Amino acid sequence: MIARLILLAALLPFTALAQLELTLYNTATNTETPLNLAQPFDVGSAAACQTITPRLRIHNIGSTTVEIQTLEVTVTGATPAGVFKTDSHDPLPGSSFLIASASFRDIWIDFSPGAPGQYTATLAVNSLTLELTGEGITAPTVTDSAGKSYCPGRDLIYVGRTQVGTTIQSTLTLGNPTPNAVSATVTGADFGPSAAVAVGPGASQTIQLTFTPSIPNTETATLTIGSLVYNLSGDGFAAPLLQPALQLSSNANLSSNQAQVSISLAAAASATTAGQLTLAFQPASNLTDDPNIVFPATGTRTMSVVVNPGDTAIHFQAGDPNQCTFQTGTTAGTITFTLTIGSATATASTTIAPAIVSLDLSSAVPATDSILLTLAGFDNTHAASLLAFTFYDPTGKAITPGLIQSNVSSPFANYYQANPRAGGTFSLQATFPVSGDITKVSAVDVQFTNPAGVASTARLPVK
Amino acid sequence: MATLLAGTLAWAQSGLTPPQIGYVRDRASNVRPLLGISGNFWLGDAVASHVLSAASSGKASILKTTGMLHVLDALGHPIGRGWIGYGPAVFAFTPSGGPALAWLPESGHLLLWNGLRFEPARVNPADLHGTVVSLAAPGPDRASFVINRDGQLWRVDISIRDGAILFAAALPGATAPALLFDDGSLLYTGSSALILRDSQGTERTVPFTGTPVQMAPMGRDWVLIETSRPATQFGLRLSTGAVFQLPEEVR
Repeated sequence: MIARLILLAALLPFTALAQLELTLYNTATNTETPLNLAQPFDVGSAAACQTITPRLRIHNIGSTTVEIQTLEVTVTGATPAGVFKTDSHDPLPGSSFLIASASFRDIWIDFSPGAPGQYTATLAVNSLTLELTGEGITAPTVTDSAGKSYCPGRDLIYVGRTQVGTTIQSTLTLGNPTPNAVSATVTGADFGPSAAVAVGPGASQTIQLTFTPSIPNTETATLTIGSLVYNLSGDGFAAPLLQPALQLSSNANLSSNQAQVSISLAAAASATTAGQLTLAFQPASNLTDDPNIVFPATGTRTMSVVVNPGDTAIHFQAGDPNQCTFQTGTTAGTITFTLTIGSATATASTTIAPAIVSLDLSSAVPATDSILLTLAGFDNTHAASLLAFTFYDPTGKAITPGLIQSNVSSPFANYYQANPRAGGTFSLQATFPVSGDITKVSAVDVQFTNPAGVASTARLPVK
Repeated sequence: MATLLAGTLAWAQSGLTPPQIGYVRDRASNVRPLLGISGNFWLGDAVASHVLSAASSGKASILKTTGMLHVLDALGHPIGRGWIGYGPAVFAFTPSGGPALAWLPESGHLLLWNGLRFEPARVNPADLHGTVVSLAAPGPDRASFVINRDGQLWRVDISIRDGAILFAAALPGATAPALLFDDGSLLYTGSSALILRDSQGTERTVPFTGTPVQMAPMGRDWVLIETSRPATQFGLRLSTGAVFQLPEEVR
């Protein structure tokens, strides 16, 4: 009996030992690799500033619960204290925990070399021990313009905050204390530079990080220098909405005028933005389009516009950049301007009311036996109906037969139908045969009637 | 005593036409009819292309292509042409709007329109002592030049018959580009303005912010003004002093 107790006592440590198993857990692949306690476990290599944290898993492969009373990492040899330690994920030193049968518990080992060199430690889990090794390596360095150094994997290099579509830059200095050249590359949409930057052995090199956000959000990228990976970040924000307002000059509601449209902004623009100003014409009822209602600078109804940072007005890409001339045409109706720039839109309209006939040029020229009358102008109703003439002698007395009237509805209607390019303009030539002394015909009055009323010319001399 | 024959108005369809001002050389070097009225213009189809210089009185137009001078009537139909030489030209019309003179700077020739063709006039270009800026034809025997002499504009009148200098005087205050008219009035460029100086020296100022680089008659009572910054064409109506932007031809 005594012999059997001694045997059991001798077997207990082996039983407890055999009840625990250590594995290396790979989070990325969710796989485990058994660790051989008879061989050192190499936690890997790290730059002086880095901490690498392998995740180990303690399995209870026995049939009973195991209490873990000892979980500690002890540096060995010349390894300074703190180079290896249990991670804060783990239970507090001195506390114990249980692992049920067929269960496991994860622990993390921090390796922070602090300087190049080979380092060792021992991990103890109850009576189970595992020798740990790790290497501190000489690695490239990254420093910003303020002198702040960055550690790969740990520190975030913040490029900055800028408006979508604009670019912000940040200068880094790359130091390469290694004996080999390294290449620095930036990977990530909206970050630059796009080309790799080489840093020779023992050399340093500046690199211009750029960030041109395409979305109003935080974006990330990586800067890879040799085998080291640094995390980059930048913030993009949306351009403030432009608040344009269209202003039309006071003559915009008059036919046959060249008026101006200008576009102001409620606040200064913060980015370069292109857009377009268009005009549309809705003729008054029963009238047709007037093709001469255009921006002369383009000869069309479209004008490109642009605004630059700091501008308080939108600029035109053709003609006068500050105000855009447009022809009001010679047809009654409504002209509507629509501006589209960025995500902003604005409109303005002007209505040209039907007006009496307006003459731009008039002359009465005597020939041998007739008077040639030329009248050029416009009728924005396209519906002139009556034309009346009264000729006068040098004393101001009306010449027989006095008032000469002519119904011009049909010829004008035919003319406008045949000449849609003319809008409401016309040039009329009328010949008046004269019997007797033509020199006695000295002047003429002309009256033009359209739906808007009667237009009377100033007395026109015959000369 | 005169009597008008009532009811005989010529109301043929041809009595109504789109109004036409004259002809302009567009920025693509085509010559097109300019149609419309003040404030409302459009360009008609090109009647000539590759034109180096052009001027129009409305009644007639004179064009200079690479090697030829062309004379067109009011409808844009050719009424004369001739092989003349290279380079641009400066033109003048008679007071009634007919073709009158052409000055060819490269060869130094003054040409006189005889109703059928241009013929050389007896002018010694060395007598001008400068660059011809403008040309007018105040009468059948006289050519009036505006000459740029080291930045100072001069008016020099020359007899077409014998080349004798009839008149020469500085045009104080006037700067190029400038345009001389047959009545002796002068249009020139001032500070942010166009200035029309009549034959008596009285000036009328038309505010104008563009930078004129060229002026040419484009119709009766109308002058074409080409500017840089922005490269635009304007029409000045002499009788009213109103300036309008001419429409670009859509390409």
